[in-house]
Amino acid sequence: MTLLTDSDVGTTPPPAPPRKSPDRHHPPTRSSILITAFMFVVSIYFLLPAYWLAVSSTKGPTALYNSAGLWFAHFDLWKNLSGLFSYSGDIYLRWILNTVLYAGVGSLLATLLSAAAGYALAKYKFRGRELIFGVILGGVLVPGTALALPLYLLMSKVSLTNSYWSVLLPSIVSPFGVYLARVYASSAVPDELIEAARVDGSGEGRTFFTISMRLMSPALVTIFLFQFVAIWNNFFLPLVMLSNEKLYPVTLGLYSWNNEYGQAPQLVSYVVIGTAVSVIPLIVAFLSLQRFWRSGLAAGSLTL
Amino acid sequence: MKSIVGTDEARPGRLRKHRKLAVGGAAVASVMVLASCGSSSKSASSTVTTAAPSNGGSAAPTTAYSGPTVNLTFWSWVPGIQASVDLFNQSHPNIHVNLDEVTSGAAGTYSKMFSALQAGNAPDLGQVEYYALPQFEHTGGLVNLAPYGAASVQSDFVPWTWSQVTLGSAIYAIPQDTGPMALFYRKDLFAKYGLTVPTTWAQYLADAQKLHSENPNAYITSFSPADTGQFAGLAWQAGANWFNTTSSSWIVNINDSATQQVANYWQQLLSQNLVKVETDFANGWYKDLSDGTLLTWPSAVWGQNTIATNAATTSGDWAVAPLPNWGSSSADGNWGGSTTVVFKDSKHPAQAAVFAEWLNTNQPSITNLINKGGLYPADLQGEQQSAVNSPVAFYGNQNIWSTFEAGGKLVNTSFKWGPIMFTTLTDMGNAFSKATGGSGTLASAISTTQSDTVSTMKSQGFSVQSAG
Amino acid sequence: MTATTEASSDTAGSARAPARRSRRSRRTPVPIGFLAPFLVLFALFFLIPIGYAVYESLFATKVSGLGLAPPVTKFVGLSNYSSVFGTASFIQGIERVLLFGIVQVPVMLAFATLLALLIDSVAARFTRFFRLAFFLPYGIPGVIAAILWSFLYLPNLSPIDSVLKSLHFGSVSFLGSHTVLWSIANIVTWEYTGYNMLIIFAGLQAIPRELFEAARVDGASEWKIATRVKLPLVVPSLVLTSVFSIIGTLQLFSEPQVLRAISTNIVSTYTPNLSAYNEAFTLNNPNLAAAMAVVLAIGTFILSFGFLRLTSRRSITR
Repeated sequence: MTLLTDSDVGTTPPPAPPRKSPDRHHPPTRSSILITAFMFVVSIYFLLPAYWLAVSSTKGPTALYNSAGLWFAHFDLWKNLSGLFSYSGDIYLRWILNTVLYAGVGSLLATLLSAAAGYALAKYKFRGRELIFGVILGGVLVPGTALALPLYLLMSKVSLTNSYWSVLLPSIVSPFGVYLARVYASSAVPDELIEAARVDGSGEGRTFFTISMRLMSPALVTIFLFQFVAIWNNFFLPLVMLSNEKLYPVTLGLYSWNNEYGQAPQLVSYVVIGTAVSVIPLIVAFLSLQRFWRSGLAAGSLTL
Repeated sequence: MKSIVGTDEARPGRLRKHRKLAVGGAAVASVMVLASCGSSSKSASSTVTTAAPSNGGSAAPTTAYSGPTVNLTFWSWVPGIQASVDLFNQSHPNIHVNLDEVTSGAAGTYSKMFSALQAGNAPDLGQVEYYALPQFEHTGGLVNLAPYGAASVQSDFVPWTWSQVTLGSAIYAIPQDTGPMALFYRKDLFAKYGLTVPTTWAQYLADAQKLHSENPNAYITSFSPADTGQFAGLAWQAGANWFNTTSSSWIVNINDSATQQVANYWQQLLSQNLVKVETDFANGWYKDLSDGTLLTWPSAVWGQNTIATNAATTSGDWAVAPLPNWGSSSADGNWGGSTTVVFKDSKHPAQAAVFAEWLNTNQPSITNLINKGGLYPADLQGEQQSAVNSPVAFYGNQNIWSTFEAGGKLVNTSFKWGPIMFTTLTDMGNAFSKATGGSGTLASAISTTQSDTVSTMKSQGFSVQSAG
Repeated sequence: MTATTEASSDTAGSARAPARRSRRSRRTPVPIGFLAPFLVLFALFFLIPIGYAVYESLFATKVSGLGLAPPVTKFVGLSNYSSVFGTASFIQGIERVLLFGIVQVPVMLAFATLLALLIDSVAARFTRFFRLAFFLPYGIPGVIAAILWSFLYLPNLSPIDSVLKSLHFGSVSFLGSHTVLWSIANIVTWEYTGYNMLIIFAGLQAIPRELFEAARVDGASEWKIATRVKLPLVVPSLVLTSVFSIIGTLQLFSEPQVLRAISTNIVSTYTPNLSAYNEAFTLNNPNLAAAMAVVLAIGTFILSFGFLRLTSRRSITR
């Protein structure tokens, strides 16, 4: 475990801000044309499925099967959209709201808990500190799916399965978040500042919420994003816990539709448009917050 | 989630269609309820729901209960079953059934039921498919309904269903619906390729060969290795007897000659490339059903809706014939169907039994289950209801139901499921996948399943005799 | 680092208010209020489930005779573990994910490193667009990515298949018994290359530019700078991405689970995780499933921790 501890984080620089390269203004050379062309080809690989999704969102089920996959056919986007939001009640909208609850509220709480714990581990010396940190770090290496099964068995003992809690509660524990928070807090929150606050009579809690959290805010955004993705990506936990489709997150909902095509032929179009609708806001959010990803990832990787 | 057995409830094609119609359908259904029960029905309120007489069925097994109000919990996944529950609650003022809508059994509800049984907090009533019944019976999870008058409804049901729910003199469930099998075929394409409608499996093979030589891109049918429910139905038809019991131990005989015959037959079709290996109830398969790639589908009664919904453009092209037979025998197989059970944790087994019997014999309830749940009733009188006994426009106005009704009476009554059916069928599906993927044959997959089932049963403590 | 020492008697379990004023002493208070919320939930949702899985894995429910009596739960020691290791299909699942990991993880990371180096290189143009394009799939959850790709793999529907056909490459079966594993690998690669690229790119950005300038002045080519200067410096990033990839690979579940609906070649024991899920939720054998979960967790821990030890010995001198 020692190599994961922060014995040397004191020397870690805070994440570098995005750097503008001055080199980019040279005229294009042959190698730059080659590299750029190569990267264009690569980006086709990454973008093609998204392009297919966008095109297919505008097709009804018949056109989906019977028209060229990479070009538009009869334009049914509005029909698909209204069908998506009215199929089986307003279940799709409900799935979206559930996802917002699980991922949004879950990651918000996870960030708060991780920040407090990481801060405590970075800024207070007490017996057992390294042991606690070591155990938490061990948690990073435990696969979530291996936890989900016993968690299900335990929750069924207390009749908590098939409830919002069964997905939300396990989602607010983020060992990796604690790790990031500790690494960041130890370099970004000066001890002198905490000591000065103490001298001024500020309580530990007030110091944390008013001073330290503000200093840690870049790391908090990163933790939030990480946990948001982790929850939004976690398919196994809701699959195991939930049997009432009204509680599903959108991933599980679309998965269940994907296995029920026989129930209604138009369902295949709803899965396509439902996929598009559910990922677009996230992609936009992700791409616009990319800066935080990079800074957080730099902090995380450099200290390993 | 895909069901491991071809359960009707888990089958796509029968479910949501009805749910979608729920709003408009409620009024229609209540009209039908009114129409189908000629006797005294009274409006409970000004809403469209209608109270039905407590006994619409032929038998009157249930004595009225007039003690203090009893609350029962019922887990089911049949769409629209709430309307039947409402009818019951209105006509039985002292018994109140609360419905929990759950996902289909194999999609996780069975394991929830088992963990609830272990924890001692199972619901009073539950939906359980035939193939899963023994696993509940043989872990002591079900209440014997014989003391609660269940024997009096025996004559209401298709004979084979009754032998599925009984063990000796004990009655562990009330049958709800069935899946008698027949052959769906494209009559337009049969004419085009000059094929005759097969009455035997030998003719079916001949048709498959002729078709393939006429058009190598068309197939007589598909084979979906993981869908062991269809295979089980076909083995059942051939006279298989996978499980039996002596007074003290199980006899496992999955590898019997009837099953080997069916396995070898399909292996022959596979080896000659006469059937298309693909997952059924998936996009590609629906497309093949619609565009003439697949000419037949040996399937159960509920399959009529699968085709009508997912190959809507082929309206008028399909017809139904009895399932081809082995030689001169005339037998049928069954694919799917389920029952209502009372779990051991129920504090009111008598009242729960009243509900289980009423739900599946009361005609207005059955009407609702047919219309909203898409079920084909196990109740003989229910089979005569007009919704399941009149010409169907999609099938060129053929009254397809009569073929299934006749088939249901030819289903072997002595076929039994085993006590670890989930394991058996999953093993079989995995072994079939390997066979169609190129390693082994269906016949060797069957003998693997036999030995795996025996060893798993032994490891769980069952006393087993292997007949294979 | 804080240099304050503490009296050991003060830490022994006394629940202390986090906001406690500590002016009166030079001891730092034990931050129980900061730690407790996390630790309680960590115990509830990490430690106790692990312990419970181990506990459950030591029991089995047994019937007797025809099995008409309720089953009894018996302590069976490690026999569930010997069943797990004696089950050929589970072992095959492990071999399958190991094969997957040995091929997919290096390919993906090499790809990600190449892209990161190219984006970081002076010659690249439109880097912002490329970064966004490569990172985009990460915003799509695994199960949805798998659904999306399953449309692209489906023989009747696949635009890839029809393009290949029209170019006379013949038909490709993405779902065949030998190809489907690599079709899954492609989905995973598609999802995570951009994410890994970003981690490595972040590592590159943190390197002081002066290092490259010095090398350039010395006449080193961009290729030499990339391989000799940059690459060794992003090793920590590669270690991190490798560990996450190893954990992810052993947990492989949603992609095969989704593709099962369209491929006849994915059995219910395709990966260890599918086996465990199937054992618990289809076959109703939670004890065996618990043993599988424990084996999976220990295996993951050993592999990822072992990898960390191995790489740290090489790259970090203490």
